[in-house]
Amino acid sequence: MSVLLRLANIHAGYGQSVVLDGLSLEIRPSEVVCLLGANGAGKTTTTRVASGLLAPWDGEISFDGVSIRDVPAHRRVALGVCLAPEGRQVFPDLTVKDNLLLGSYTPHARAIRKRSLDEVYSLFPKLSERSRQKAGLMSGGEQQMLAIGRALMGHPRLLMLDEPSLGLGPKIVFDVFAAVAKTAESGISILIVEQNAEAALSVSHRGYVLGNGRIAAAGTSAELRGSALVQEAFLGKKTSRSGKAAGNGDGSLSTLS
Amino acid sequence: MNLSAASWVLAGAAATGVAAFGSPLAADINFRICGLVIVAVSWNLMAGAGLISLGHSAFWGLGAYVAILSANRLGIPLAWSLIPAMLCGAAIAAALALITGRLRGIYFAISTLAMSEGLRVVAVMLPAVTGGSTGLYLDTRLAAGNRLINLGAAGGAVAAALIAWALTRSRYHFALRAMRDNETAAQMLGIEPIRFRVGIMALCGAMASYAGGLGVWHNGYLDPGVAFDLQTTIDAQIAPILGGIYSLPGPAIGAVATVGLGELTRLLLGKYTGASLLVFGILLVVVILALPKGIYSIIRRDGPRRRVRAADPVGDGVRP
Repeated sequence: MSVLLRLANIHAGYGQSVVLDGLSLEIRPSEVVCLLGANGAGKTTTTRVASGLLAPWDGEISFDGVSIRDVPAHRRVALGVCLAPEGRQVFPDLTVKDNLLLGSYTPHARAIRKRSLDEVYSLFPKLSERSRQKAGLMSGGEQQMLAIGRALMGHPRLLMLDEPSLGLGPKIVFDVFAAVAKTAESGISILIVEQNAEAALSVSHRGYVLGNGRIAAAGTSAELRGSALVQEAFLGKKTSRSGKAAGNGDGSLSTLS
Repeated sequence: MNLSAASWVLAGAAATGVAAFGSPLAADINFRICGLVIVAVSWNLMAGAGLISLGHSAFWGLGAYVAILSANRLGIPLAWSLIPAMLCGAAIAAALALITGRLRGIYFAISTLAMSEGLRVVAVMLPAVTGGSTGLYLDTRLAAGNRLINLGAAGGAVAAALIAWALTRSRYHFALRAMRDNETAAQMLGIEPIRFRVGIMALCGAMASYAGGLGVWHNGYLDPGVAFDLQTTIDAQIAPILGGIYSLPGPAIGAVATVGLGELTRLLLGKYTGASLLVFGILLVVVILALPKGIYSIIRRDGPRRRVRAADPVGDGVRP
């Protein structure tokens, strides 16, 4: 089966500190994949490398079979790699609609932006209601929807979501992930980078667990959900090994499981 | 034609009219306002892209030197000397954009300040070219008429305002604004920040150099202290901040207010040494404290916002 995005043996970091130490992962067309990891595991660094905001020290990145290692970030967007960055990062003083329209900056996306706008509005009706409001005045959940919508306006083939649940209440997290699941139906590949394993696994086909800068575990969502590592570290369930617990296993999302 | 367009046309016509037919005093004040409008618009455009400049005197001074040197050495008239001035201003601004790369905020500001100081030192240390600290006089045989210089300033101010207006109507306005808000997020939309940085800085550098070139034709004299005067840098940012930062009319309103306020305090308090500057400074502080968004915030009635909304973020004419 073909591979859309492949990260192979990525080494990356900032200054002296190594963050990714031989990370490899793959995302296939129309696949929803989650990348789980605790704070500081290197989740955001992975999205920065994949989107071109950070150049890796070593390793290979390919998109649709072509190396994009040396392709700058703005051109990767044109290829179809769109990121909804951590912490939303919407433009607070622009209206919701202008934020969305800015998402269609590349010539290819611009040509079909009217359709994209309708699609985003039907995916997130809230954004349609608030289209003339300043983005900075919306709630965190609405801003997250806007960030996802803005990335979708770029007509991505691969949508990367960096911690979409960050700082959101359980009900809103549910809404956001429901929208992610709906987006996936259109055939876009999605990479969800999350601490909230419960929510992320509920919408993804496969998942990776990041630990010490490389993949510590991989498998289908069902397999990961059953694995001791994920249960202990992310789902807050003690297993017989009762090892060290990490991550944010608050288990507050029972509605999703 | 709506009210705001009418007031723009009126202001442009007034500036041109006074430049052409005003009394010497009126024409002189008009020249100072127009020169300030040009550097203020230039500063405001850069600020609008998130590039806070503390070195507009560098562009101004370089333009002034290139204008006076090309005039004296080549014997070319006013209008022609402004072309190399603008080219050099654009080139050094573009070079600074490339060198500073991703520097932002205070770090970028300091680099512009350093460039201005550096150019001043270079000008002092190259007496063979610049006349060193003794300075240079413009070749008197070339001296252009006051009316021509004044018209050049008025025309430059109108052109600067038109360029700024055209930018707010274009999709580049949104790209630049996205860069100011969040450069990483802008990149994630497919915007290439360095291209916009180089472009906007080259444009703004050329504008400020034009003002510098005219300034030297107006004064007839230039030395490093005059060329790279910190006052130019300060005025370039006081005017837009006083008038309304990031707004279209802000720099123009601010330029009129700054020059007007300066003249007023000088007229009323000129006989007490230093008092006029002190009062001018205090007035500035008070106005900025009372109106953090500038004088324009008093008269704006949602007009500009509507105009921005009508513009198209990615611009192909058909806004969905």
